[in-house]
Amino acid sequence: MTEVSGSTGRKAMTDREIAEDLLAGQKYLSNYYYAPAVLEAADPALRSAFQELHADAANAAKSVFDYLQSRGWYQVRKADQETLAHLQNAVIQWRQAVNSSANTGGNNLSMNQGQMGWTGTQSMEGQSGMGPSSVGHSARWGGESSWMPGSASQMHAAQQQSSIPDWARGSLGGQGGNWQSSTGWTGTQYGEGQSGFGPSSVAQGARWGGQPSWMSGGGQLHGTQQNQNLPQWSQRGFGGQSGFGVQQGVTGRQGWTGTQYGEGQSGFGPSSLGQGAHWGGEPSWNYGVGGQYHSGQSANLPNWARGGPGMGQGGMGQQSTFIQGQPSLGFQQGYGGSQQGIGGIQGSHTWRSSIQTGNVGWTGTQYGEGQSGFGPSSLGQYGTGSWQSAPANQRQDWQQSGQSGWQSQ
Amino acid sequence: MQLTQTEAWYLGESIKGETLMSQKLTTYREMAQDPKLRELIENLERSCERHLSLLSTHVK
Repeated sequence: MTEVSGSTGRKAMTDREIAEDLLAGQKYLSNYYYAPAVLEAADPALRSAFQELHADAANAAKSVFDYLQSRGWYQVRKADQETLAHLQNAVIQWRQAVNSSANTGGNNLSMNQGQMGWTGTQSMEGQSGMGPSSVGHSARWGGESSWMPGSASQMHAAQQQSSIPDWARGSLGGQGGNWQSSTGWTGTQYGEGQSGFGPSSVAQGARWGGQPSWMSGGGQLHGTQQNQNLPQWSQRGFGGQSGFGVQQGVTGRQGWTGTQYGEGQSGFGPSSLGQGAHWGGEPSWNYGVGGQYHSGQSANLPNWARGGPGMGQGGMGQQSTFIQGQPSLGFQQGYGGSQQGIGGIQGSHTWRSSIQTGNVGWTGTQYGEGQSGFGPSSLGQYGTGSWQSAPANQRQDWQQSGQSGWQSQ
Repeated sequence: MQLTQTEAWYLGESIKGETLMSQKLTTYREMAQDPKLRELIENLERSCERHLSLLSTHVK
């Protein structure tokens, strides 16, 4: 350890103390000045400036963190078994609570029993709520939708009602189970935060990893443009597709693989505070063939994906006036029926993220520290991320392998 | 557009925060023994200056 005395005779700070103080300072700026300032700024230009400052502070903190860690001065801890058990229990309770709500027409979300939608390690120091999707509505991560049997790339399987579990055909079906060996998020997450972190804390409709419920291969808007190729129930105005959680015959997929580090006040991790944010794949409406942008062609979407009044999948969702890459101005609304938030609550837009079978949705390492969350799409709604640029070749792969297969059904 | 009360407050606090950070960085740069840390501090100093400049443009 380096320690020197200054010319004043005072005991000088060590390099470690300096770096730790700098980290604390950057965190403070990020957490207590810039993050709330972004939220409070009325002037667009000023808000933009605060956003820039917030990002800079987070990046600066990361630089200092990296330095500390390179010196072995910032040890991160892995969660102990007790913490993990507590976390899993919390998820189960959360799921039960939400299921109860769904049965009465409330939200519907899933955490797969007997299977880790999120696999990895999370270390944290936080005040409240942590783990995947605390306070999340219809948040999903990992795996696939409930009704889709078979491997992820086999959309044709989903097109045949005979292949759909019974409960998926009904108007108010329940929730299946039996997920198998599908890893939604594999990796490590570290965090220190005040109000929860982990995937999708306070997220509504967030998704990452896995596949959209009605779409194989992911991201094929053109696939949804043909109603005749969709299962009958998906063309209804309401009903059906309630619940999700069945993940039959899916093995060895990873939605997100990597490492995430974070420190923050209000949650971080994928999609903290994010509504409708998703990563680990692509939004289906966002790319057609070869990454073409097709936003919201509702005429070509199944009924339930178009929103509008109704129950069940159609919901009353409004996700209008959003700008790609920017926070959405319209929140998702209308959790009132089954499969909403995952399915068709988007109003005129249907967005579906996807992960290709056998592929990795997001691979990498993420570091971050901040108040309002960081990680994929923290605070972001429909924000862009690294996943958009990475899987271009993967898109091509599944387009070639999966598209022709199910369209010809 | 005239600043709101809240915006003015955050602007002021941010400027003070960045100024303090800048002062600390100057001190720390002289204190640091590790060249890598010194380099990191220098980068942060430049960032601080940029931030202060950006913030000041919004003070009318």
